Amino acid sequence: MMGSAEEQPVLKISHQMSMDSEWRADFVDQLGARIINSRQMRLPDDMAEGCSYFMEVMPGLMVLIVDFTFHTSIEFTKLASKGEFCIVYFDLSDNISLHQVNGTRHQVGYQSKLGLGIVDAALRSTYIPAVGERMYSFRLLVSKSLLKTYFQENMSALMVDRTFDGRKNTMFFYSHIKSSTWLALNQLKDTSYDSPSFELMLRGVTFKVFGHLIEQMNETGPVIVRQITEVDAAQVMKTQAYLMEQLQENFPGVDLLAEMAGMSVSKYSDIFKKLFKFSPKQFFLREKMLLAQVLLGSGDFGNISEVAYEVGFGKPGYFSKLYKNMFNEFPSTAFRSRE
Amino acid sequence: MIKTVTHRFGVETAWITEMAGAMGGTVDGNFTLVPEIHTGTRYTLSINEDITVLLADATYHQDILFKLRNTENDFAGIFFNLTEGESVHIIDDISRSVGRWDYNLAIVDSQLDLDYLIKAGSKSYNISIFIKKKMLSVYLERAGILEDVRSRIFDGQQNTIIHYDQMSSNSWHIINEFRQLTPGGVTYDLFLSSTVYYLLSGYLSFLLSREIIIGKIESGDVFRILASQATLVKHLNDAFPGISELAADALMSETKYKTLYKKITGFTPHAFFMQNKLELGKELLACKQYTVAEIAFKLSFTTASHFTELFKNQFGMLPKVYVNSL
Repeated sequence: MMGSAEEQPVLKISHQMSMDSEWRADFVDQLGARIINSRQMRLPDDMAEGCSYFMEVMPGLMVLIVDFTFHTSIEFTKLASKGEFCIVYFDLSDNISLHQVNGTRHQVGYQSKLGLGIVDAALRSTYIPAVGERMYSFRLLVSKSLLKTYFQENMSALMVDRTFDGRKNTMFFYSHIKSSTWLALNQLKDTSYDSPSFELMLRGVTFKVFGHLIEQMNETGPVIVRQITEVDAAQVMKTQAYLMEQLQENFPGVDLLAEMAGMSVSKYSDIFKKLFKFSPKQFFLREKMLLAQVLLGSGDFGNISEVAYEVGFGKPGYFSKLYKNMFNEFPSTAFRSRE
Repeated sequence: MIKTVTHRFGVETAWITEMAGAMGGTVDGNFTLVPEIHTGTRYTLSINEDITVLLADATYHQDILFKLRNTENDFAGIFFNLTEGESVHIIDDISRSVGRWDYNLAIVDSQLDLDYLIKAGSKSYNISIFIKKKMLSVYLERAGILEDVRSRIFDGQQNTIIHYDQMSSNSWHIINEFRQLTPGGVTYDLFLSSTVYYLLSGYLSFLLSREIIIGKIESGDVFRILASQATLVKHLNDAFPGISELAADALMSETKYKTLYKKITGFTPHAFFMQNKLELGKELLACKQYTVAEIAFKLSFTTASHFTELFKNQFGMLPKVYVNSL
């Protein structure tokens, strides 16, 4: 999410990320952040209200909450970090939201995005938070050696070693946030940092969220990409976000997407598939169906055909067939009629 | 002859092998296998240097008397109990059932001896958390409890940590959600750790909402108080018997009785009695067989309007409104 185009960030900060609290020094030096106690950090009052909260939960697993409402526009650049770990981001505005947004001028759309992302700490990234809105980001920093231990049962030792070897590979994983994780994080979001039981609750939430993450990764396997450049990754991510805005339309075609990403069709398709496990078209169809599933259960539609049209199918019968293929049940199972 | 198992608990885990031995079983990783005594799961996990958890999801084959005799005095046990069937705490000649309507949450100082009898056929689901007192003290410090008070709470010469209660519905839901998982999977320890921290978080909030009463207690006194409370529950139809009678039955002075009662249960005897009386009144209203006046009479309220007034105070609505809302 970027700040609006006309608003140029007045401040820029480049910072490290690390498994210990060293990274905070960059914020203290460059922005004048204050360390409140061993875990909390605040920014100067004119810059932002709120705090960050950083804590070790078990060896190899750190939790970081970034909870600020910014008064000024700041551009944050996370430098490529040394150290064998990855960062898991949870975006609570995730999942298919029925909140309708005025996207393009011709129609009202649905907002859908993958709220869970794992990014290798070796990648550099830039972010400009919106001004005047509460930004709440829950993150895990997980050492690759810890992550490895959870995949040993399903993978050969050689595979595991190769997979988690940071010199050879860069790790990615994107998914929707599980509803139980989402509920736990929302409950946490509403709990005061000053509450005496906050820390215990945060530990409970973190173990739970991490457990769900391991389950999700075990279902599909983490995505490992040999030395992909961050520029290429960012370009392909941009087309993925575009696809998520087009779920009511027809598939725009790989040619167009590759052009958007500024690369050849074969390179584009290759990187997309590595990042998201599916070809662009399969991915698009899956997300369409996930949206349809939410719409079916929403009670906003009079019959199943209306839902099929809503997600851009001309033939409800074809929609039902594809839906059945994907979820192994007919749309009627999920359907709740308008009262 | 009832089989007796004498054992200890602790944050350090040496007791696990000893206890398995005393139960005629073996330890296999996190699991303890005791096929002679119960089927099901017995699982221990050391979460960190200050916290260890024991999970027992068991169906008992024989009557068994556990005698808890701790050797370390540096921790408290927090016991969440979802037992169905007969399980009884005993001390001297007083028996007390656990797990029914009554207490399913107990916080017990490691310095107290505890005997508990579990009957053949009982199904129990227990999560027992052993936590270092020094760690509890850290959390109380953060909550702003003064050093002076904390040192007295955790001084074994002055105070015994003891408290019986019903677990909150929140705790119950957390345990129930965890219960659906199959023990031993890759993520099982993560979810067990999560459950323990959630339960501790709930417990801490609860602890801080109560008045802290410092005092040293012997095991015998604990169970005399609990027995006294059980007697009150049996006589909810009658008028409050009065402190002097209750104290005499519990073989204590009135002052001691009142202090210990509050410390262990969190209520004064009268408040506890009235609260349960009103709960019973609510149940009777719900079955729609009696008028408000009849129920007031049945529960020995002096007048129907007195019942109505107390009911409104407790539940925030008049008895009639409650009946109509059903």
